[in-house]
Amino acid sequence: MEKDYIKIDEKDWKAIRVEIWLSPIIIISPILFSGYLIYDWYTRGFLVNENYRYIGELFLAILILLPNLFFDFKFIKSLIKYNKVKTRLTSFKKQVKGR
Amino acid sequence: MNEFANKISDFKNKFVETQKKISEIRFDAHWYRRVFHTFGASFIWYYTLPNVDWVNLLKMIIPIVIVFALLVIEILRIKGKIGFNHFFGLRMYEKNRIGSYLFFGIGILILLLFFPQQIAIPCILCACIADPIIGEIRIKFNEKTAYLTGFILCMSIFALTWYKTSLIFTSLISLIGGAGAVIGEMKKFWWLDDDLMIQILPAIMIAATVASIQFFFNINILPEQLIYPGEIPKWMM
Repeated sequence: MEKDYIKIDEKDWKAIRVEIWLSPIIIISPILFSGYLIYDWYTRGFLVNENYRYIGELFLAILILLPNLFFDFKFIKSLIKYNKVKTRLTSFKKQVKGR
Repeated sequence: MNEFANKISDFKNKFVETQKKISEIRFDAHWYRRVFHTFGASFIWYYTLPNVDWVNLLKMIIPIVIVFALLVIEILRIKGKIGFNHFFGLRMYEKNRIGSYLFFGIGILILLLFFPQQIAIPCILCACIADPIIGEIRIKFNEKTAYLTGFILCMSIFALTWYKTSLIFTSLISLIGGAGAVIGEMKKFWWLDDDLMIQILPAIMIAATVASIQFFFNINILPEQLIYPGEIPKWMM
C-alpha cells in the first residue's frame, strides 16, 4: 500500500487552515481528560481511602497523558516550522512582486 | 544594460523558484495523524458520564449520529461530491476508499456500544497509544522491533487495566490482548483498515475467552469496572 499522503497544493491552504483550527481540540481534550481522571482518583479514591478501587483511573490518566504530550510536542514543533517557512516564503514572494 | 538584464532574469528565476517552493510546502500530515490517534483516547470520557436514563439514551444516540455523519461525508468524498483536498492528511490508498479515521470511529463505536468497559478501554488504548508508537518504531528501527515493542506495550495496557482480577487471569488476558492487537496491526488489507482491526480483534478474542471460562469453569474473570461514572448535578435531574 502506498504510504504517501495525498498532495495538497497552494490553493488548498484553506483546508489546512481548518485542521489548524481543529488542533487545539485535538491537543487539549486528552490532557483535560487525564486531568479529570487524576482529580477523580484523588477526590473519590485517595482522600477517602478507596485507593485500590480508583488507582486504575490514575494508571489510565498517566497512560493517556505521556504519549499525548510526546506527540503533541512533535506536532506543535512541525506546526511552528510550517508557519515560519510559509511566512518567510510569502513575504519573499511579495517582496519580489513589489519590485 | 547587460547587468540590468541579468539582474531581472535573476529575480525572475528567484520568483519562479519561490512560487514552486510555496506550492511544495506541506503542513506535516505525519504528526497530525499521530496526534489524531492519541486524541482518540478522549472518547473514553464516555464512561465518566452519569448513569441516568436520559444520559444513557444520549450516550447511545450521539456516537451513532457522529459516525453516521462521517460515513455520509466519506461517501460524498469518494463519489467526488466533496473534493478530497478538503480532507487533510489522507493517504494515497485512501483516495478511493473509506478513510482510516472512519474505521477508527467505527471501531470505537462498536466497542463503546457492545463491549463492557473492561474490554473496550484497553482495546481503544491499543489503537490510540500503541498504534502510533508502533508506527514510529517501524520508521526508526524495523518491523520486527516495532511489533515486539507493540506486543509488550499492548500487554502492559491490558495488564494495567485488568489489575483488579487475579494474577493468572491478568496474565492470560494480557497475552491474548497483546497478541490480538499486534495481529490486528500486522494484517493489512486495502478494504479493512488496521485502525479497526487493532481494536476489534483483541476485543473479540478476550470476549470469547471470558465467555469460555464462564461456560466451562463457571468463573467470571471480568474485573470490576475501571472508570466510575460521575454524578449528575442536582439541577440537571
